[in-house]
Amino acid sequence: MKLDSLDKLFEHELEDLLDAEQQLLEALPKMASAAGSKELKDAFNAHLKETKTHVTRLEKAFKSLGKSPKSVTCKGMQGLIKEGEDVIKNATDQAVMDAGLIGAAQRVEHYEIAAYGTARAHAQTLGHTEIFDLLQTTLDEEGMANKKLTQLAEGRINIRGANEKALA
Amino acid sequence: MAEKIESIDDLFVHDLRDIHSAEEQLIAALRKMAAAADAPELSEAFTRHLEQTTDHRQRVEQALAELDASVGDEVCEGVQGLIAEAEESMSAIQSGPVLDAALIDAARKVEHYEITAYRSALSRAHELGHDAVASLLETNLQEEELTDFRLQKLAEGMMPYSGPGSDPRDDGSEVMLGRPATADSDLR
Repeated sequence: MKLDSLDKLFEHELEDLLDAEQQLLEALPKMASAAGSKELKDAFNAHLKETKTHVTRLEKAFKSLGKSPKSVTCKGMQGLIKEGEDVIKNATDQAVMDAGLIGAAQRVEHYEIAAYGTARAHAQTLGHTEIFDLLQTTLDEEGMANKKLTQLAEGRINIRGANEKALA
Repeated sequence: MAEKIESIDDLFVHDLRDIHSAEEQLIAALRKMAAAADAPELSEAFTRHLEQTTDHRQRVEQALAELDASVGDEVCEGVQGLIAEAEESMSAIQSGPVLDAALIDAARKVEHYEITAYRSALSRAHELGHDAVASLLETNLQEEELTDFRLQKLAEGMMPYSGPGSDPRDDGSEVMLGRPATADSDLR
């Protein structure tokens, strides 16, 4: 598709986001089962539920444009999820795994924050107020999810213990 | 990434190698983005960030040397995907304001990636007591944050919209320590 107007760019951004959320729906259960800390597992499971809602909101956004929901492969998210999979494959210690998973998940959240922030701004420019609200609600939830991950990282999930064990 | 990550130290070295690959990929991408940008101020912003990115790569190399670790052959798949998106835009959109908007979006996604990666590496450097490495990472982090802010301002000047947050502290992420206090005045 040639993107020769802001309308088309906006539609393309929604298609990209829909694919990103769908990829995340598949990745989060794997991340939850790889996580060792109960808090981290809970955080991934809670975000999985939210992610389902995010998909629904994007579908509503398409409807509001009079279009049927469509997606294009979001290569950005593909790469970010691959990084998470690498951590799962290569971390041999549970606390290191958790620290790596938090890092991977925060990269995903930042991607989404940037993407929703931009799409929201374009919705505003184009006067799509209903879509603006949908995107803003999701953006707020992504921001909260990122904050939660930062708190978990700072709580440190017994990372010092992991190092001592590795040195022993 | 083939090596096993057995400790937080391993994870730290792994993350630094990942960032090194990200910076290297970005050097190649920024050249293309500078050439594709229509607005002269956007093209200049990319060229300026290209120069900084060359410094960033060098600082990461210093950091790895400080840890007696090689640069390795890690490929940062996250940034690879983000750059692929920018390339898609460059091939799907004709030169002009729409492409400029898409390039700014793509560049800001990369900046957000790097800001997250540097923040997390920086807190690990502090935790592991690598002060010299921490100070190298902090310099890079501040420049990335400032770049994101400059791109934001450019976007606001070019089109009647603003990207994630109208202020660098309002990007939905954590307020962090060591944010450049000069960010606002620098731009006014």
